[in-house]
Amino acid sequence: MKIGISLDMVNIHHQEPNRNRFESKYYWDELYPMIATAGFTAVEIPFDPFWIFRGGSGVPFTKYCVEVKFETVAKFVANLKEKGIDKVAGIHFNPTIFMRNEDLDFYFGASGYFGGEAIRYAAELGCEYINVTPTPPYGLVQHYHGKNINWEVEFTKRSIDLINGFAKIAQEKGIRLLLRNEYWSVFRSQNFQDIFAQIDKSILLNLDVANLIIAGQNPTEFIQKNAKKIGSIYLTDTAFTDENQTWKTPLPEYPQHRATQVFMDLGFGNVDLRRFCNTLIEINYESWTIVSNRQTREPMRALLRSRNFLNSTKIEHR
Amino acid sequence: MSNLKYSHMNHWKNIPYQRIDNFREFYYEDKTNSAYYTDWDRILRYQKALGFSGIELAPWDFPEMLPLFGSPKAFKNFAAERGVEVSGMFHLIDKAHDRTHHKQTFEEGKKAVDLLVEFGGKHLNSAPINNYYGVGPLSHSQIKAAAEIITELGKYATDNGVQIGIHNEFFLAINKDNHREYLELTDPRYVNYCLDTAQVALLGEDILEFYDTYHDRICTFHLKDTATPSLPDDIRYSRDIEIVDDGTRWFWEPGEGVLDFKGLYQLLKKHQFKGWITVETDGTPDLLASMALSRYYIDNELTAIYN
Repeated sequence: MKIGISLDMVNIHHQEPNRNRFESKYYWDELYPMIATAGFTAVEIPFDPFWIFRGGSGVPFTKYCVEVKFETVAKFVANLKEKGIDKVAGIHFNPTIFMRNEDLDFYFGASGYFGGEAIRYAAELGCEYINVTPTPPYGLVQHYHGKNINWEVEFTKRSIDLINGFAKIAQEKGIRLLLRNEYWSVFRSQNFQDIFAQIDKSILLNLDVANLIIAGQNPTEFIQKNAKKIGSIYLTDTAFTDENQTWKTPLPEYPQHRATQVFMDLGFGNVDLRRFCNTLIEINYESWTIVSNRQTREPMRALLRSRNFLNSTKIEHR
Repeated sequence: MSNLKYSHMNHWKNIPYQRIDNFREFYYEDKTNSAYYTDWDRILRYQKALGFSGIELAPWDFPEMLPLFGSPKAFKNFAAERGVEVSGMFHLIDKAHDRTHHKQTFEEGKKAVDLLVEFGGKHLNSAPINNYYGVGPLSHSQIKAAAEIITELGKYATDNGVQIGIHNEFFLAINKDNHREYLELTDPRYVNYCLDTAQVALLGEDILEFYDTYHDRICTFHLKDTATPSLPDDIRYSRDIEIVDDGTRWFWEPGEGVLDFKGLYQLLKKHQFKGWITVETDGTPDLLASMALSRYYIDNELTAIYN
């Protein structure tokens, strides 16, 4: 099994003391060897075009940023290798950043353009996959487009077209396209079999353990039934149960009725991740498993907590 | 009521909760200080406690902030309940030098003005153009085009009770060699100036001489310090220079750099400036500490000069 860790552990968009350092290159230069020291030699990178427009090109989350700081993507990859990171396993593309007004053409236009950029970036990095968040949160789309009573049907149809367009680019670039499952997706309100029938057959699924549990499913059973359709896995932890339909709110990662850290550092939620890891071993799962600590309060601590957890499993000793 | 009202520029980034009622429980989940920077209720209370009765908003926060509150008015009311009002917001006059883009530039500006009206704010502090890198140097015709579009937007803003303030920055295409020319090409009836003390000093201006000269155009301030005024051209014109690779900071809290704020406050008194002064501490690792440091300096070093 191939193990990596997502750089989503560096939460740049929300406030906390010392957050400013995340925007400068020196922070990342220091981080890469720490990742290797914590026993991770592969990473997944979230694609985040925010840093194209804000001058924060030290954040390595787009091709533009990397080319500003390293001249070429190849030099960036070589730099990572020097620091002990041998592989960028994949890119995660999330179009939610473009759900910011009532203009659906803007959303789909920008998502299409930057999704293509993300795939090209992934190909140059030597990634095996691009993992796509299929839709912004249900409640966020509803906030901007809820006046249209047919918004769910129209939005779903255009999203499927968008995803199929990504699949075509990904195939041209020789990488796999995966769809991420998130408990707040617009697709959750639709008939998933219908959606699955309409998407390109080359598309595989990403399985995010915590997201699946919050959505009310059993990840162990899910992977046992769908092993051949799984292209990558996020090892994520949570103690959150969605009893107030938080998934339908604009900011579903931040339940407004009761503040909580929905995604906890690995081993600190109540997900039976050891059992899940044992299942991966039993079914001989061989693709990427990515550790994600997307809401951690401290990236360096999350790194070590993750390593501590993985050391307590047999997942890396097959 | 004092002639000087203090606001704080919102550089908190996304604040994902309106109000956290289960604060102690939330804190105990991971026992870090993140809990203290996660809801607007506490952020606004910090502001009020430190004497900042205004908040200046940043447009890059709106995609999360507006869905969180539902509308600008809802945020305005939420802030007012905590004794804080929106003093203004930041805006970029995108591609101002390019007349073929002006229609879109104006529409974007109109939307910003309308949004600010909904927030109840007064100052639309506007970067006059994009970065120097990739755009500069500008021809006279391009400077004139940039002045025309901000003047056109200024008319719309004035009609709607909003003051456009040129907010120059040390890395923009309107820069040391042309920013006075640009300012004088704009129509003073519709276009004002937000004097960001650090940005204009980094540009190479003497902020006291600049304020003394243009005091009748300056409608508001971004009060911040720098330790490195008069940066050379090769730094100001370089790519993505606002955030530096090695963590070098251009901006410091008032009193922590080298600018002559006491001299500035003497001039504020001389010209009887009245209105909003926004403390901006972009680049700080700790906005709350910077806010408190700034307040101490204002109260103990500056206020008596003006009074």
